[in-house]
Amino acid sequence: MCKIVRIKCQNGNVGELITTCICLLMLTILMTAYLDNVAMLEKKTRIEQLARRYILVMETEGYLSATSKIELLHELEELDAKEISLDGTTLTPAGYGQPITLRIRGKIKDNYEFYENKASTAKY
Amino acid sequence: MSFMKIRHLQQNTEPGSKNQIRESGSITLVTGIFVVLFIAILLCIQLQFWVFQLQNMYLEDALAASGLASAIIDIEEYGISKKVIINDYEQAYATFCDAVKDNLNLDENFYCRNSFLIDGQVKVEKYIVYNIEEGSNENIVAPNGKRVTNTGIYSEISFPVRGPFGFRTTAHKGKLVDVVARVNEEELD
Repeated sequence: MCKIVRIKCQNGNVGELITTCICLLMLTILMTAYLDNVAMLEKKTRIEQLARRYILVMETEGYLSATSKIELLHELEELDAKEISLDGTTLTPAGYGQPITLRIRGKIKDNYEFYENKASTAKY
Repeated sequence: MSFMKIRHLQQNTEPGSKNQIRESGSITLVTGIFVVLFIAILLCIQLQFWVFQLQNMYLEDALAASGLASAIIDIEEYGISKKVIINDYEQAYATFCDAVKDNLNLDENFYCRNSFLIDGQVKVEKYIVYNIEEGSNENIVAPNGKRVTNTGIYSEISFPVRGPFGFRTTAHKGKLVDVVARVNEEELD
């Protein structure tokens, strides 16, 4: 009375499944790499905008004041920037028309180095 | 004349047969790889297009910042007559060149060190200083078509651009910046 159900595995079904899985894996790798690159570009753009904003602040103040420096470092840390260095930045007041520079070096995601260099003249 | 009878092996192409399954499997693989490659190419093009857009924005910003850096007015004149005038053109031009070099990361000969877009020497094509008196109704138009209403500077640079597939052309960028004196309310009081 007992019915034995035999499931016959068709030849080739496993092969198709593996093929689909390989394609899906490749697509996932591709999309992950793409999204990673997009995220990096977006962070770099935001750091660029930040540098531009602070060089304008420096123009009106004549240098990167201690308060502005703390704010800049804080904003850079919020963008996950590591090993930040402001070497070469004008940190002492410059007279009207004198050159001022903002140099930001650091790393994004511990691997990728970035360097922002903005130059202008003091106008205060 | 002898004739040979060519014998073809009969293939079993009935649905469900081994050959049929192998064929459909290889078609799935080829289609899958094609789709993955197609998406990869699309994403690469989109990414490159985005990088070009960002570089373009970066160049515009650098040019505007350099123009503003060179807009150094005569403070003594401003103190006496409240006129915003750029007197020292040579100094302004030298400051502009230095600022362009710093902002675009160029070397002494105006060659770009590490740009994705600029592929050669950057040239300053135009550098025009406009000294406009306050209340003047003169209709002065900058080379980019914008009306000059305040004392300012128009600068234009050209540079060779490297695109995809070895495509190379010369691009031009121009920007007008102006200087407006801001009077503090405290000073007015």
